[in-house]
Amino acid sequence: MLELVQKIIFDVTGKKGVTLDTDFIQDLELNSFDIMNIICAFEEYFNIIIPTRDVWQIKVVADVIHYLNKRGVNVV
Amino acid sequence: MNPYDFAVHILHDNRAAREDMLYSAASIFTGLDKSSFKKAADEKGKPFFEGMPDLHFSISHSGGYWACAFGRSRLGLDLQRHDGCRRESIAKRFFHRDEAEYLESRSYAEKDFFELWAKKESYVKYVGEGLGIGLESFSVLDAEKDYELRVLPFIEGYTLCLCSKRIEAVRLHFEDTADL
Repeated sequence: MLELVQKIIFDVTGKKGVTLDTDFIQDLELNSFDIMNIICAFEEYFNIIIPTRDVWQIKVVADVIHYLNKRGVNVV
Repeated sequence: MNPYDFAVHILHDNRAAREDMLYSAASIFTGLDKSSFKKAADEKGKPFFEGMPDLHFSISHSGGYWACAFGRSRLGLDLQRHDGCRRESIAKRFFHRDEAEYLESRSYAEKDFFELWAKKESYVKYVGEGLGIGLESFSVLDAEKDYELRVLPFIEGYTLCLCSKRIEAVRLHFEDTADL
């Protein structure tokens, strides 16, 4: 799952080398526009809707994976 | 000073020097020494200067630029580079229905999309609620608004927007006018 999330982040932002602890704002320097863009990419790729209230709970890459697992997303 | 006059400082971004950039710009705006300023943030993350409740500022950075607006009344600023993105998806997903319909009628043109984005983001900063307010919950296209938005001139490929209750004069300070 981490590799897939890394690929989506790279495709959207061009940022490489993210780890589970990478913070989207502090480390990747993403602004709110970048975050929305990534959220749309996750939604399209995993075919889910991420409610706005959930978006702001996602701080680091590990949060994305935890969230996707919680939503029952399985990577084939 | 007129409470609805503002100044916007735009510099080449230098992450390591952002605090110093803020204090330098604040010094130019107020005429006070840089050492007079100490930045703090409220519980929602909106920054302010300690002991200076009448000095308002809003910071935004995108691409290679850092921008900060100063004024004597509450304000919000957004600078956004026109990065490639899913414009239709973002509009349908995060914008108010009226805004999404407007953008659809404009074929999600880049300039229109980023102008709406910067307006919305500057409004969110102006009200100080953070994006938790829900971007879809309000439309900047509403004719009746109790706030004002002004798209300011900047270089091609970026949109810069200021929001406040009322906006009269805006002074722009560019670090490198050769870019313009």
